[in-house]
Amino acid sequence: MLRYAALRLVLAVPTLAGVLLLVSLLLQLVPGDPVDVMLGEGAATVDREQLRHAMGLDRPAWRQLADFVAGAAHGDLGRSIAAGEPVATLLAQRYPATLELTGAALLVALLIALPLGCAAAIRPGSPADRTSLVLATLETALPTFCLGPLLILVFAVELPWLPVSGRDGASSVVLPALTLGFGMSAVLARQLRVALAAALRLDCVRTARAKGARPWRAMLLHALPNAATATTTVLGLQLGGLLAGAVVTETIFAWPGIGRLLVQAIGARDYPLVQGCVLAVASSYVAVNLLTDLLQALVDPRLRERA
Amino acid sequence: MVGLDATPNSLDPRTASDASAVAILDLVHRGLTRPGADGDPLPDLAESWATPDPVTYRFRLSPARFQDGSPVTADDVVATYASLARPAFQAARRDGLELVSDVVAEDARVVRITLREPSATFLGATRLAVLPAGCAQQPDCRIGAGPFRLDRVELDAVDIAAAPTAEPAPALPGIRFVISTDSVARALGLARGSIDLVQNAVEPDLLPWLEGAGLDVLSTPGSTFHYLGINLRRPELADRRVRQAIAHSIDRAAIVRWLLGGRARLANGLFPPEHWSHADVADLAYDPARARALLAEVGGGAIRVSLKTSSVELRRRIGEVIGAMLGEVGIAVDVRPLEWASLYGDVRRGAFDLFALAWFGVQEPDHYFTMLHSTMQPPRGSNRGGFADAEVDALTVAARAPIPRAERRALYGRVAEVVDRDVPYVPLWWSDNVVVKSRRLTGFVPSPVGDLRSLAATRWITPTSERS
Repeated sequence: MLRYAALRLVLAVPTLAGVLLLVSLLLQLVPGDPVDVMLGEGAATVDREQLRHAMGLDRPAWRQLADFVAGAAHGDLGRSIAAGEPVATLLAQRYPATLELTGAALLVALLIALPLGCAAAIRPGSPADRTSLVLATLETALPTFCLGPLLILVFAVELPWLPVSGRDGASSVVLPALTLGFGMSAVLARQLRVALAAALRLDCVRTARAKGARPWRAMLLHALPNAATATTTVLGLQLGGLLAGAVVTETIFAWPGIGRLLVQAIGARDYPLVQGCVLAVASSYVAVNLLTDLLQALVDPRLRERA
Repeated sequence: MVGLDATPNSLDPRTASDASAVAILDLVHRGLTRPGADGDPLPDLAESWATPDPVTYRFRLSPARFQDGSPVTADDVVATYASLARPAFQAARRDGLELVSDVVAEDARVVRITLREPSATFLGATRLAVLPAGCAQQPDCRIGAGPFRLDRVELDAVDIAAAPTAEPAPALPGIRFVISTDSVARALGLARGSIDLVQNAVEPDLLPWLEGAGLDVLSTPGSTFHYLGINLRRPELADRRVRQAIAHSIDRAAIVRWLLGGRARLANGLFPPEHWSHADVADLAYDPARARALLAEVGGGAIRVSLKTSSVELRRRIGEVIGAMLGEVGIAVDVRPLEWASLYGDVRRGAFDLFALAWFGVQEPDHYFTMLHSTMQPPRGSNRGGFADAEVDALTVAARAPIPRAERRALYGRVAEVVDRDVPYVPLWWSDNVVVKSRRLTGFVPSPVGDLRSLAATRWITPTSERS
């Protein structure tokens, strides 16, 4: 198990390097120049050249990336071009907001998906199953840029219970978390239903039922752990995506998370900041997937033996 | 609570360049002068100035104090201008100040600035914020002489508080600027009352709804100049008649009415009528028949061009409408919405046929030099289309000299006539400054140049029946 985890960690290094290389190259390929964006119209050419030199932007692109990687290996992510602050500081400011939103959205998603998925699986074709399908369709059909403003309109404007946007106190996380969690729960509930339906046909469940266990008990104790493997995989992927920053939701709710920082950095062609964000995002993704796999191995003894 | 659409990148007036930072810093700082609507600088910290000879300016300071309590003296002005030469301010906006050779304090209240050669653009640049001498030495100076002082800077929020040193004292005890990145959420914030004022950052479509929700929508004629840039290096666009046809095929009145909610004035040049250099040239009116006739005259078959525009929803829609209008007269347009950095990058590289952009905050007609002089193609200047005309070159150079205003006016009038004939770009409209604000905020007057300085004279009325 430990060897497996160590192997995965080692394999994460080329993954991160690949992502970083790809993103940096793509960003250098698209038009746009950080100095032009920063100075805007009208600054004299001399200023531009001086600035470009002072920021090391006159070095070749591969050199800039190599320097960034060398710095990153020593824990120095460089300085943001637009803000002038260390990239690490900016990431440290934003990451807690992303974690908070991700955690809250996960909670919302689980609270909706678990009962819905279980109820749907226990009697396929029942009203509960149909309701879950309708809800899931609705959730998928309502993109966040539509659901977000709708929730604001209802719960912040018509009923002034919650703040419209910003991150100011615990109440401000509710609407963005609902927006994100709602969308997540659709896929999750349907996935859970399929996995549970399959698990309910397993011998162990039939045995438990034959021994007199109630349907709910048989499901929670015997079918759910069997269905967990597939569901946690989906959950892990979704969670990884959230940690990468829910750009649209963060923009609607002016949530100061990593997603908005990344978009802002791309918009300003702030190469060091983009690289820092990508590194943080990719690391979170790799970490969450690793944790998911380890969790699965804990839940499912069969995986443990194979590993 | 004022809503801004983007996070300011710097709060030092010497390095700040984005609109959010400028909106905040206008309230925190004062310069020797401030921009006026007609293009003439108005007195600010300097109560008066004299120009004994064309390269010497003598400013007399009015009595004022910085937010740290110290008086504004000539030494502070000297230190501020000197600090621009330091490497820490390589990004500093020195436009118009390149020719300054010497800044001297004659006494505590008189500053003499000497230029290397006469410049018509220098005075406009003295809007630069004056900082206390000690503070000006540091890279991130946040003390100014404005009515509000920077109080707290948080992630996505900036608080300013009334400065006790300000004369007269502002009526509001403080203002919180919040960043609200989504235009719908900004409008909802206004409706809810969590944002009290937003300037030029609400989609025109939402204005009637906000008015219905009990908010004040104020607009004043603005000077932001929207135009269609044309690449004259493209063979199909090199003929003047094709460009005239493009101008005649765009029904600007319809766009202003239906997409901008009527909140813009049709432009016939860079500067609006209230500006001193405005020239009353013929409007390139909507006339599709004439456009077709011009194209038929040119011949040479179908014209296909691309139009690069911002991916911001409203700009994209305007781009599509212009594309469709050009399609009507037989110019096939491929509309390409791009995010800002790509658009700006392509425009500066000359990688475009047509582009839609706007100039804002331009007060000095010397801008024609940057836009049209044949040597001012990027990266040096903003002549993106590659326009080259010996007469315009001579006119824009002649008008840079410190000659009487009437003469400069005549020169720029002639430039406007050439532009009207040769159409190196198509003037579209000057957009209004639109402010949406809470009814409880009284006394706010939208500025024609788009600043929020009027907030210093704004009051907050609390209804007596307000719920606790």
